[in-house]
Amino acid sequence: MNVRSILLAAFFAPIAWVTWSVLLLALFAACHLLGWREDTAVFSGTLVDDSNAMSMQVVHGLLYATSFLAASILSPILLIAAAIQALLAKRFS
Amino acid sequence: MRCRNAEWDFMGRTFLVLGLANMALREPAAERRYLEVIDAIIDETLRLEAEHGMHFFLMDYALGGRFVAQPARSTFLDGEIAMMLAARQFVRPDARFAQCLATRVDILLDYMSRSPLLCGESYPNECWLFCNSAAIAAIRLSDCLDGRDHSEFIQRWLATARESLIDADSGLLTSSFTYNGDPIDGPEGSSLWMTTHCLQLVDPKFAEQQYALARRHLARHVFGFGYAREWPESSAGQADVDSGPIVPLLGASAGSSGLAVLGAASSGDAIFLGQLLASLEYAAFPIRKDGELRFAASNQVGDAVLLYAMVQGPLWQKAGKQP
Repeated sequence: MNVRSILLAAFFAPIAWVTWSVLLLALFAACHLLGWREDTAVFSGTLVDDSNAMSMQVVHGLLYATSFLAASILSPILLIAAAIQALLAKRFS
Repeated sequence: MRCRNAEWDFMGRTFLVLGLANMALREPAAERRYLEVIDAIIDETLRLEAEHGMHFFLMDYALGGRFVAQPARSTFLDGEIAMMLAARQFVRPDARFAQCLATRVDILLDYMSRSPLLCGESYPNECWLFCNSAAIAAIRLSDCLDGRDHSEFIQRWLATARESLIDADSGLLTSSFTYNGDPIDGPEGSSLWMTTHCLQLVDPKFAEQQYALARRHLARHVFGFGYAREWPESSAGQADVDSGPIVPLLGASAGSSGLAVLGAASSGDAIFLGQLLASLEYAAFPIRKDGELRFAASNQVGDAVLLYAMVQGPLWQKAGKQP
């Protein structure tokens, strides 16, 4: 079973939630390892001068912030929900 | 930084000097180390101003118009340079800066007293309360140092501000206006928090009133995370270079939220300060390296403001104790 089939076949299953959670964490980790944290300077209006580099800075900064919010808010919620769902299923099966 | 906004270069210097002055007053044992940096910043700033003129630290649009008061000077520069000099002198008086400070204060008084609202221009036909309240605080600091007394002028300035610079809807001080007093922008968070901080030196009660109003109209929090709106809901404005991008729906800006840390810290508002610091720690993307801290979502001037906010106290307290 590959990741895509897990996500599509069992959207409300704990395994799908854990997979989503890991994907969100992986996305944030990728943005972080690419060094895009520095590009969040766009939020204070601090942009580089070159227009091409500026566009990339905006994209990187927004992606970093979005992936950070997803990883720090959604990811733990999905993990906790998956754990509760798995426990309930075990208890009442 | 300079390429993007020459003002930020200059303001970064001001807030760094103010922060270091407070640190020197807090840690007398490290005074020499802090003074070396402060003096280097002040010397370089004065040299650059002398070599290139005031436009070196102003945004380009300053060249597009004519200052009403002639010969042209910017209260933005004069006020903050006076403040840097005064802060340095409060740590340890140095004869080579004493005359420089007195001259700068005389220039401020000349320009401000010539204006109908006792406020000097920062840009052509553009007066900012941020700059003029900083100038007033610098005059007060200077009086404490050299024993001169400009309290009559300061009282007139305060009376004029109360009478002519209050926004009717919110009761907050407005942020910018023309030389003759026609409003340009309404109350703006990125100006107002600094204004309340400066007012504490000359009229603590007025400062307290303005802070309470700013708290009501601009301070917000969600689940314990604080932020400050750039504009009150009653007078929405646009994002500008002072605010940075404004977050849709929330109305929050980095400029207002950053300076709110200074406002809350200097007003002793521990609750809002705690909420703002929680937001900073979470969403300003702190970078800790080799014992240093900076915020990726901030910039040089933002980090200097935060430093000054976090070491608040000694300079204003020392000045406040002077008769």
